[in-house]
Amino acid sequence: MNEAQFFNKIKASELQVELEQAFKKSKTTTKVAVVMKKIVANIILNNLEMVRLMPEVVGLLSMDSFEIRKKCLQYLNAYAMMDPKLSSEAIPMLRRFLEEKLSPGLIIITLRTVSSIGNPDYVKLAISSIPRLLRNQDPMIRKAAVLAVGKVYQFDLKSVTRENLIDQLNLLLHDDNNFVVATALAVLGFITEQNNSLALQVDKEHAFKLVELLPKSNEWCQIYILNSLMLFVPQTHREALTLIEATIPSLQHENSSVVLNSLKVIVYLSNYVLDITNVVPGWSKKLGTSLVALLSNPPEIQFLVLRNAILLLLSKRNLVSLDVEQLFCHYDDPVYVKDTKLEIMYLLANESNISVVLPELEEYALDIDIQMARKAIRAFGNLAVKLENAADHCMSVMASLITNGVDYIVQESAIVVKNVVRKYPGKFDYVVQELLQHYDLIEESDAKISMVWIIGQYCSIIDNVDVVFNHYAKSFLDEPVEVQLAIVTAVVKYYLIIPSKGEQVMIQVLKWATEDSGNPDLRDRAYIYWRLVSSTSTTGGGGGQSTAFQELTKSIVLHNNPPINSTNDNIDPNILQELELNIGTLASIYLKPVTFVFRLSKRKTLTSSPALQKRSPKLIDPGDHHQRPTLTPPPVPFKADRQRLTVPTLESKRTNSTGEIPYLPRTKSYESASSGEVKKESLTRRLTRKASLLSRSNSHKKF
Amino acid sequence: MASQLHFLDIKGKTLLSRDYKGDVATDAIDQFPLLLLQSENEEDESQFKPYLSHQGVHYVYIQHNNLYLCALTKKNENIMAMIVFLSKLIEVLTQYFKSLEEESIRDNFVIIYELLDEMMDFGIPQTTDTKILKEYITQDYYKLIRKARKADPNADSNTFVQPPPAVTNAVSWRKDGIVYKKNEAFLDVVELINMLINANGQVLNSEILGEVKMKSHLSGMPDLRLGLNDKGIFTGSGGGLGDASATEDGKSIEMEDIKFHQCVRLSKFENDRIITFIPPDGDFTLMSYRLSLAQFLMKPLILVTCKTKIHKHSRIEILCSVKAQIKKKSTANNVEIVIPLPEDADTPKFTPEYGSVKYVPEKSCLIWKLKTFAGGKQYHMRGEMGLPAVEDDTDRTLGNKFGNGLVSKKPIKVNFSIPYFTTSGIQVRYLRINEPKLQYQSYPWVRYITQSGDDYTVRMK
Repeated sequence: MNEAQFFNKIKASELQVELEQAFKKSKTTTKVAVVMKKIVANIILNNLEMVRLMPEVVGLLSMDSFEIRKKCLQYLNAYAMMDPKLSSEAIPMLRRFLEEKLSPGLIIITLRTVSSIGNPDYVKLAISSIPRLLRNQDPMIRKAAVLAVGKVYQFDLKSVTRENLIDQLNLLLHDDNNFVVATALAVLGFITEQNNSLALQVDKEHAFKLVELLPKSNEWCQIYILNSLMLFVPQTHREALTLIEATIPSLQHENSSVVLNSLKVIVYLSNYVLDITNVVPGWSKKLGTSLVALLSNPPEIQFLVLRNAILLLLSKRNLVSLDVEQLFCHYDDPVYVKDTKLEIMYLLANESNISVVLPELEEYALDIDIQMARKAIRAFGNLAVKLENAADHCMSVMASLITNGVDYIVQESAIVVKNVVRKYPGKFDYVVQELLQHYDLIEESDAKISMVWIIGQYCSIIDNVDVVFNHYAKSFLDEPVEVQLAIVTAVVKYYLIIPSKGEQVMIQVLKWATEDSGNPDLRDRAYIYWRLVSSTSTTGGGGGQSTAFQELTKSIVLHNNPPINSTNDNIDPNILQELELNIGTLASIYLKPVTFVFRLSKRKTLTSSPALQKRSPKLIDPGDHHQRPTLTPPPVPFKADRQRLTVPTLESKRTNSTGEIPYLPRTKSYESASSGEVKKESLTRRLTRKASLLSRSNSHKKF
Repeated sequence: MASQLHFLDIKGKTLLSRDYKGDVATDAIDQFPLLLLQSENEEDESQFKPYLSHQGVHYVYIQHNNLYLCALTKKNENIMAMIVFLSKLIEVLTQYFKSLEEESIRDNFVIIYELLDEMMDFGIPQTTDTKILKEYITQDYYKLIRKARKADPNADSNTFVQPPPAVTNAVSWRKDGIVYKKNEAFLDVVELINMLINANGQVLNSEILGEVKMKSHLSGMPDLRLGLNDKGIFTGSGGGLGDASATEDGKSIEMEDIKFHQCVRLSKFENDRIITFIPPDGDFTLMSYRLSLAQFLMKPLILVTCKTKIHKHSRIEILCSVKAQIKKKSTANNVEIVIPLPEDADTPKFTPEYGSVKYVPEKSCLIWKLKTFAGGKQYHMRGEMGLPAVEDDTDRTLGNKFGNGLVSKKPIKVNFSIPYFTTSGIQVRYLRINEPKLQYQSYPWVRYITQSGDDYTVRMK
């Protein structure tokens, strides 16, 4: 026997007939119960016709059966707003339920229903009953009343304030039942978030009392209690430390969200403790292991944990110690988990564990999954830039990977190698040589831009340089404009370095660019180059003036690029601080400032107190010991730059063509971003881009 | 926390919904299947995350059998709590209906609707303890639920509806007045071993996931105290669980992370390192712990080495050997070695020294089964399969380029179970049962078993 037989859409009139018949014969209750079941099925199936049954259902409330009344209330919950007039007729009956000493169960469900219906009559009834029920002896009823305050607050803010319901909730924060306290905290939290003039504060005495409640409460109550501890501002180190010690046992709860929330509280409180790592020995290990332990959960939870681990590694590196081995990818991990693990591996990599990390990355680079392989290669490049001592090893692995001549590996390598040779000019010429063996495999424009930049830069050490240039120049007119720009710059460099070989191909390309291209940027650049180059040739190279001009041209075009470093490790410390207070929330997945994702939410900041510790620069520094954090502005997507209408200088144009990121001043990008929301792409994406550490730094593709 | 909860079928059609707050538009869920499809088709697969958002509404979902459970919110909510709540919801419903599928939603819609009311109110999770919920809903709906749940012997016909006092009790997980004729408690210590071994037999990472499961058949409100042999941790300083240094004694164990059932007094454990609790009735997991295996053994319990040689266009040769690196006295049972094969292999021929080999074409793998496997023994297996003479040239993956890797990089998986043995060496010293009022005699029982976890894998060359 099951209920599937009732699970069909049905006409209201049929049910009316069934009800009439039910009252004619015996066993009325059973028959009515069946009808009610059908009605519930139709609520679930979203059958709006059921509204017509309002008078009947209101009448059924008077039947003395809890089962039927409960379903009637479910019905009211679903349809009362569609027919406010008729549904108000149920009020006297509902008032009776709330006022007479009937069973507590009935009071609870009635209150729950009445308070969740926006009809003014219902709201009035709820508001008049709540104060009395808040003082009821039964804790379950008190709890239901507390929840009702929150619901009614949504409908009628004024009455709630007039009846002082919020003050009464405040009193219940000291109730002797933990469930009531936790629920009151949750509801007050909700109300204060809606209302800017209210703020929930927890004083010292109360905070310590709440902590004591923790072990006795059920898992969900613990979460709300833990979150309320975030509202307490410790005034001394001692206070913060005592609270931390009281919270630590919760790290051993079997409910993962209790664990993560206690982690959040601990991280928050640690801001108020002087020199935390020395005060509580072994504690970074403890936080680390509780994070790793959460990884034995399903992938959705793993992903969340990993995202928060990234956040902690970026902001409070000294608080969490993680073994990189624990984060090795498993074959069955979903891509999004693997991806995040890879980011963490990158963050964790340092001189001491690089010998473990590199072989593992090499394993991934040979993975059957192309996406994974590409990400691993990207990680190689980023590591080479990040850790100077590891660069040799990284690049020798890269070279051997390139030898296989698999197209996606070569293309990804091209992008990576370009960054690495910019960081260490002249050090890895053998990798460049290796890469050039496979110049014909490159098809994607990102890879092409990098490759063209490399051959432009290194044309003096390439044996078959004319063949390579001809290969890229051949398809010039079919390329997207970014690639075309790169080619134009590269051929000019080629000509300036080896005039004898380069002249022909340069003239050909410049001709195409000036005569056959419709793109003004491209055309302008080609003209400028042409002018720069042709001044020398027309004067025949004889006069001293022209030699000087030629030198000038060379110094402009063959200028060394500014060195790059692993800047994308650094997120603005203020953003990190805010995210830290939001561990385990939605914002922690996006790793974006909360107001970007949720425009209306209140901003959380660390409240200052005598005990608050300043963030030392060491904390911001992501464990990279030999490199001071650089305050380079965030990379801006390529597209955004192209929309700027200022005429780029030669130099910046050239960098453009090689696929590097032009920099905008930081303030500008942030100001404009603060008003945006998630959909308003490019601005917010910058931050995502920063957060996604393994993304290649120069990509302008979606990722 | 959550504004709406939805059950959807595999195509994304809504089966059952509950709106808790009314601050999210009712048709917002209609976007869900579209978003899901969109994210699945995303070029870069890493975009496919279990969290979606569209027009300010955030969709948090998990998939279970042929169902999606999806929670909607507009705020920066505690998403960890949301996702854990969803998985607990699945747990509860599974305990009710044995397995949770599309069918079971339809079959039990009345109870589910009711359960959703009790488990969450105003978007705030209330309770996710099946034992309490069963008590609660049974009283309201005893007749109906008895049908749906196939007879609940505890159902009584109390018509005065009173929420169970247990919900708000200090001991919320146990009700008063439980009586058993014979008072027994069963402890199961189960350890799952996860290991990642590279092709040379080197252990890359390893962990033990241990659980102490309990089944309590005890009367009244008994107070239990569990003694384990892990002085290493339990004498360690309060904060420094991880840095216990007592490794000279081979018996002491360093547990990295211990999680307890909510009945265990955590503060008592933190301060005095004593595990005391009032158990819920019936089955539950008392504690779980995690250890990184490195400190116990660097060699795999079951060592598999497998060599495959591919003669392109003709055949593949497999030579596999397996060794049980456990104590001579111990025996591993039901050992299964799952070796992945190329998808297009045919005409299998296997000659195992011991056990049986089965070819499973639909999973493109072979399974070598060894029913019992004594410690210290080693066995070999030789196999050969044909390969097609023609191949797909468009396959541009690396394996093909190398010429050896028609086999994907899929690892070998090993399953086994070793009874009467825990890898960590953890042992139950005593279980003291004390019921202050009834003072009965009671019998604790203990069992140990080590099993392979989900991730006991050996990488292929």
